[in-house]
Amino acid sequence: VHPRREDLPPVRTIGSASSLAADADTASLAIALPSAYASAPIGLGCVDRDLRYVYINDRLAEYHGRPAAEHIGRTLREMTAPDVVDQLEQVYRHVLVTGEPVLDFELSSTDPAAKHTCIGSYTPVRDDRGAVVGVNAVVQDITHRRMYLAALEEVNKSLRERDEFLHGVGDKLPQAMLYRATNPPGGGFRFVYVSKGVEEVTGLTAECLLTDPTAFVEMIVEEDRPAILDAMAESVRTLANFDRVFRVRWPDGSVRWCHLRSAHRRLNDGSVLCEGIMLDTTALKKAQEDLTKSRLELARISRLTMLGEITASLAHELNQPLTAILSNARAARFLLGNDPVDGELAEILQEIAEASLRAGDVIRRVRTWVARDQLLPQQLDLNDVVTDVERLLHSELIIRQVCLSLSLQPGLPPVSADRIQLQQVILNLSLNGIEAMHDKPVIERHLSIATSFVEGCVQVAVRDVGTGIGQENLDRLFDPFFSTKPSGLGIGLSICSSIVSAHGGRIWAENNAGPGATLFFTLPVIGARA
Amino acid sequence: VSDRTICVIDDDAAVLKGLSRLLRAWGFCVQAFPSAQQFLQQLTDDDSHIGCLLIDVYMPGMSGVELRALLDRTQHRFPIIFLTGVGGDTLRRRAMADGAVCVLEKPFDDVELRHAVEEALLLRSSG
Repeated sequence: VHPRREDLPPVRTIGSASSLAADADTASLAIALPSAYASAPIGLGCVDRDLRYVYINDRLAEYHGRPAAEHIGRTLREMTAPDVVDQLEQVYRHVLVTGEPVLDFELSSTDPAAKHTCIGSYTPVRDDRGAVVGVNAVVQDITHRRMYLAALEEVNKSLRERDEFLHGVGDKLPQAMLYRATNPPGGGFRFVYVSKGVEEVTGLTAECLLTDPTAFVEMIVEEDRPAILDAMAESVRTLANFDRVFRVRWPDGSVRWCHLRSAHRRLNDGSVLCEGIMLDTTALKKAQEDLTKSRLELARISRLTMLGEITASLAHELNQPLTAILSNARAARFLLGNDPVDGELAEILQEIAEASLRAGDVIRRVRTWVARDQLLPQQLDLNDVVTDVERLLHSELIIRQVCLSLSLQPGLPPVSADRIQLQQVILNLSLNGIEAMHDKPVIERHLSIATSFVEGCVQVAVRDVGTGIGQENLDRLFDPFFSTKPSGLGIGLSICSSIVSAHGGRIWAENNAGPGATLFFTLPVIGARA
Repeated sequence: VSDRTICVIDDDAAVLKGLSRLLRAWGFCVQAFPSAQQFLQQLTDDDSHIGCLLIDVYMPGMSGVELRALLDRTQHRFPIIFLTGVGGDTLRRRAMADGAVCVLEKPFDDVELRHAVEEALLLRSSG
C-alpha cells in the first residue's frame, strides 16, 4: 500500500515549520516530523530540477547503500546503482517535464548479488506559482513481498495441478466413475460431481445423474435394490465405508455388474458427503465365472479319467487270473480227450471256462461304460496341448500360489494322439509337481513345462522344485495305487502311464540335480516307429 | 503241428503256466519266460528253432512293445502275438500297424489262441 499523493509531506514546507507554531501541539509535531520522516519504514526523498538530492530519509539512503547525509547536493546518477539509474532518471525527468506523477513504478535491480525490487511513486513538487521545482519520491522495497507472492503462486499452481490430476484421473479411468454426493440433514440425496466415466459405468449421462439422482436408484436391479439402499442409508448414518457389488440395468436393458465403494464424512452443516468410486466389474465377474468353469471342467475330467484308470487297473488285475483259469480249464479239457466216463468232468471244465469268459465280458462292458477306449487320435502339436493345460491350470496355480513357466520348442513335428487324454497326462504331471511343492515357501514354488524333439520323439518335461522322489520309489511311481501322499489314491501318475503307453510312448521320472524332480514322457512322431 | 518252439513271455506266473500248459497239451513245443530280459538272455543268432512269440504288452522292466522294437533292430524277425489285459482299440491298431499277427485281449478262449498261433507259425514257415 502506497501513501497517496495528498498524504505525502509537502517537502517544501519542511523547513518552514514556523507557520504551524500558532498551536503548541502543532509546533511540537512540526519539530518531531523531520525525525519521524527520517526514520520512516518507507523510502522518502526529494530532488531539485538538476536531480540533486535536497532531502532523503534513512530508508531510501539505505536502499542506495550510502548514509543519508552523503546524498544532499549530489545527483541521482551519483547516488544510484548504475543498472537502474537510466530508468530512474527517465522517470524523474518525465515528472519534471510534464508535471504528471508516476505512480507505482516497479524497478528491479539486475545485479545478481543483490536482487531487489522496489516500487516507487514520483510526484512533482511545485512552488507558489505552481511551477515544478523538484520531484518527491516515495519508494518501498518489495523484494520480500514478491518472494511471498511467487511462493503463493507456486502453491496455487500445485493446487491447480492436483485438482487437474484428480479430475483427469477421474475422467480417464476406464470403466470407472468417481463421484461426490451429498446427503443434506433433512434427507434427499444428490450428486455434486460425477467423472466422465459415468456413461461407461451407468449408461447415463452426467447431466442426467446430477439433475435427477433417482435415475441412479432406479437403475439398480430390483432384487438388489432394497439391500443396497439399506446398506447405503446405514453407511450415511454411521459414516462407515460402503463397499458392495450389485447389478445395474442400463437404459438399453442390459444388466451389468458393478462395484461401489465410498467414504462418508459429516460436514459442519450436518450434511453427509459421500465420495467414492463405482467400477464396472462385468468383465471381472465373467473372468471369475470362467475360472470356476475351468476348475469344474478340470475336476470332471479328472474324475472321469480316475474312474477309467481304476477300472482299467482292476480289469488288468482280474483279467490275468481269468486268463490262467481259462487256459487251465481248456488244457484240462483237452487232456481229458473224448473219454465218455468223465463226461461230467468235461462239463465242469466247460462251465469253468464259460464262467471265466462271462467274467471277462463283464469287465469289458464296465470298461466300455467308462469309455476309456474312445480315443480320438488326431494330428497334434504338443505345444498346443501344453497351452491348453496352462489354461486349465490357471486357477489351480493361483490358489496354490505356484509360478508356471513354459519353454516350448517351436516347430515340433506332429504326433498322433487323443487331445483330451494328452491334456490329462500333462495336467496330472503338473498337479503332481504342484502337490510336491506344497511345503515349499511360496516364493520358491516354480513349475516349468518344456517341450523338445529328442531322438525321433517329442518329449515333454514337467519340472518342479519340490521334495523330490525317494530312490526306492522311482520305479514304482507310475504303478496303480502307489502313492507317497497320505491322501493320494495313487491313480494320477498311473493314468499318465497308461495313456502314454497306449500312445506308444514312454514315461519316467528323474530327480533334479537341484531340489525337486522332473517327470518326462515321450511320444513317437507320426511316421516314426516306436 | 509245427516243430518250432512257441515262446511265451508274461510276467504273471499263473498266466504263463496256464498258457504254456494249454499249448503243450495241443502238442506244441513251448518255452516260458517271466520277463523280456530273460527271453533275450537265451536268444542267440541262430533263432531258427523259434516259431513265434506270445508277448504280454504290459510288463515291468521292458514292455512287450519295447521288446518288439529291440528285436526289430537286432534283425530277429518272429511273428508276434501280443497279449493284453487292458486292451483298447488304439493299442490294437498300433500293434497291428507294427506288424503283429494279432492282439489277444485277456481273457481269450482257446479257439482264438489256436487260430492266432497257427497263423503265426504258418507265417514263420512261409517267410
